[in-house]
Amino acid sequence: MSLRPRYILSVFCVAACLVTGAHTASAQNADALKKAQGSFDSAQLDYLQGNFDKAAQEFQEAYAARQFPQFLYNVGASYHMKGKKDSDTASYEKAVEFYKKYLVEDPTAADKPKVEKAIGVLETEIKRIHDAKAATPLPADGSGAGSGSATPVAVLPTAPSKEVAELGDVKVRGLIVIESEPQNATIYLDDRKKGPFATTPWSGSLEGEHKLIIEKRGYQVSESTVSADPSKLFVLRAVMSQSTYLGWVEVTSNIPNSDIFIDDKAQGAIGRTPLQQNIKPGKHTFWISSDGYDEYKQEVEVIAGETLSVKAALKGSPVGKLNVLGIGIEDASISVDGKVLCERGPCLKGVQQGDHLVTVKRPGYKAYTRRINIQAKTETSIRATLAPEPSRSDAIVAYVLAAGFSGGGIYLGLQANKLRDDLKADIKAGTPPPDSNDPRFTRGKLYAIGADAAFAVAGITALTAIYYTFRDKGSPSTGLIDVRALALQPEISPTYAGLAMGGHF
Amino acid sequence: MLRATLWIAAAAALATSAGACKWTEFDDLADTTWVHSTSKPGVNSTDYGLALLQVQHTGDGGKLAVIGANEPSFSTLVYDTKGNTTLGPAAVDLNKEFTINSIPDAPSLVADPNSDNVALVIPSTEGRTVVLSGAADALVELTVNDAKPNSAVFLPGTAGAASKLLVSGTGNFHGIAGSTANTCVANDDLIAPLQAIAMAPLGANVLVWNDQGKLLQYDAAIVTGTCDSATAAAPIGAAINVGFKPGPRSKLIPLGGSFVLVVGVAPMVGGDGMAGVYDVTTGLPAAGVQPATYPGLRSAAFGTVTGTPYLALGFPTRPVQNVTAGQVEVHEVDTVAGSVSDSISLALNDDQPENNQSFGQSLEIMHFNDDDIFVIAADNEIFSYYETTKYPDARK
Repeated sequence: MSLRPRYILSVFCVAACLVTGAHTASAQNADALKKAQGSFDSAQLDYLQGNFDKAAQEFQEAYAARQFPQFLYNVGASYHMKGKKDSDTASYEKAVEFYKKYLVEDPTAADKPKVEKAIGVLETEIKRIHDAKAATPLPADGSGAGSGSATPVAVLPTAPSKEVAELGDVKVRGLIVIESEPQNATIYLDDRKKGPFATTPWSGSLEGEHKLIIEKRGYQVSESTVSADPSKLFVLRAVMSQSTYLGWVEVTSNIPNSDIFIDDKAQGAIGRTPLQQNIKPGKHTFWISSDGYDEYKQEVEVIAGETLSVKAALKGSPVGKLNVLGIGIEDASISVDGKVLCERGPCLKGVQQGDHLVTVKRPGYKAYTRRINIQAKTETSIRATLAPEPSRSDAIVAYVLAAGFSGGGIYLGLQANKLRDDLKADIKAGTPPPDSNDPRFTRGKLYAIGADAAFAVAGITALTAIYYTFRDKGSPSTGLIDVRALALQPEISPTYAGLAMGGHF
Repeated sequence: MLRATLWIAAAAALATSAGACKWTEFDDLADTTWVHSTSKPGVNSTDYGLALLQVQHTGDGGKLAVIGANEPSFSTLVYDTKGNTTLGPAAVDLNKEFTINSIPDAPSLVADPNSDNVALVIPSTEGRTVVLSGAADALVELTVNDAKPNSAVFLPGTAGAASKLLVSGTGNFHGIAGSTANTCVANDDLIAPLQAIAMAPLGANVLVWNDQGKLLQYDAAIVTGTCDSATAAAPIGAAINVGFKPGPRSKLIPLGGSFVLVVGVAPMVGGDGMAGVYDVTTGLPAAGVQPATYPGLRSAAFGTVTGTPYLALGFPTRPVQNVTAGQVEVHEVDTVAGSVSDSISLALNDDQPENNQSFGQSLEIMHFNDDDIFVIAADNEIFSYYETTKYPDARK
């Protein structure tokens, strides 16, 4: 028997001891989240039934359990709808209060302008209602309408203003909450190539179906698919198991968004810089490349449980974009300086600054070749119109004729050689000797001349055929060239900063 | 793309050049053949090569006189040392120059062994016969007081004196020296007017083969002018009856001593010919070898090639490879014993015979460089054998 079961049990015990403390805190978080989710569900139900006060109270309870800013927004929304329903300034004021808290908690909220607009509208509405109350004389007994007094009484506004009405009915927002155990894991959305999306814990909105990849050093990767209802609270909690047999690699480069290849380029890029992920221990080869830069290659040895940094310093010259378009370009290959740039068009790729020979080839069509100067920070567009290759029937006819003449020449040559050999033999034998006017001399000479003439004609015809094969008949392929400037603009993400190139046309 | 095109073009050019044939190779080969064929040069005759005669006995290259019929012509072929032939400078249109419209048969065409002079006795269809003589490139017509001259021979002068031309007619001898002609009346052994078909010098005498097939000797006085026109000269000694009535192309060829090579050509085309050696002293065939019969014989030439005497006999109607193309036989001649070998030393014919080619209608053993070569006429074509299995390349 092997020692493996005992080994695994030992690892489990050690891991259990190590995570006990963390596990207690994690369990508390889970309970709080569960409580928040219960309050959220109740609040949403009350909201839909028009019990806005109760809904607001329950959203506050949810926030008390877990401080997600969206809960504050939903509290504000509940009061917003209560105020709108009753033209209740107190509710409007609470709505403004919680909207503002929401923006304080999430100052980068995507809907910040919209929320700020709502705050402004509600504050105006509050003032309008107050002004209307101030202008309305109260009855002596302090009662209102229906006292029987003849004194005219101003009517208080019972309908929301036009601006409030234009804001429409506010809907509470659902929320996706992604947590991991342990926290601070990197979240990738759909594909690692897009780069890190966020780190756990994260909450926010997502539309549509997405694949979530959650990764943390020393833990196994967690992958799951979410399709969240925008009006519900969706909680994804990834409990990540430790993986002490993996190493951790952090790949960065001086050029953001460089493609990363590991061990086998044919597998395609596994992501883009910067990238952090688990990796099996052992020797690995990293290639980091980006258009316009020399490829960076590094061989590393990954040790289980340790972090390895790969910092690629890509070198290269400035690049411009080459964009090759045109009818039927999807069947054409595009080469630059003899190397295939795109197997199929349309082709939009970075090309180093300088003179380049661009060739567009499509089967059955004349190739389009043009020497083009690519400038940095520009996009050079070529709209290629490829002309069909002309028929080569004339060349085929010439080849056939050449073959015919050549065959005739060979036949005549063989006849001449046979006569020559016969004559030589007869001359040598001398019984009777052929005379100088023997018709075989003339015949052999004619055969030889005929053979040479046939060979000459065959050669000329063959050359003509070659010329016909390669001559450029008919209209050539053409290209319409356009050069436009590209603007460089800074791009900042939570994990890197750099320059990105984009076109403004 | 340009580079690829250039590579392909270069490869095509290389392939073309690698596969190219050298047509000049056939010209080079033609120059190395043992036989050089000369087609009729720029003369108008349509039967070129009716008769051949060498007209240069020493020096490099060679020269051949050629008679053409049908628009008769006399011309020469000049051979350079490599065997290339060119038409001589004084081609004669016999019709224009001497009003000979056509030649019915081979003329008597003889060469002076002591010079390059020639003599022609040319009959015409109009019954007129013209005698021409002189250097081959400068022939002049001789005035011969004879109704119909029919043969001629050069008789070498004694003690280095110039040769004299002897022309025979019907019952006459005409000795010609320079512009002087001396005519003698002559009878045969039957005291009938002599009709000499072929003549040859024999010591100080003249050997005649008459139309009756007899060999007759006459004293050289018939040439020197000691005869007179009133008294007919008679043959010396007994006549030798060869038994073959010769035609115009027949030849008497002295072999030395008393041996004479007798080559008879039938008067009519297709008749049998004969050849043999006679001892004029005994009046019998030498060595007891009877003359051989050669069907279809039409021409003959004698000469020594690389030290061996040969008799070349032309049979222009002999079938070769199933076509009537003609052939020439070469027989070795034993000048000491006086015989013509029965075996054929060489059989010469066109490598690619053609019907009615008339190969061998006339022939000659011609001096060329320091050698002697066979020269054979066919229809409008002259074949020069620079090399055979019997002698090496004479062009060196």
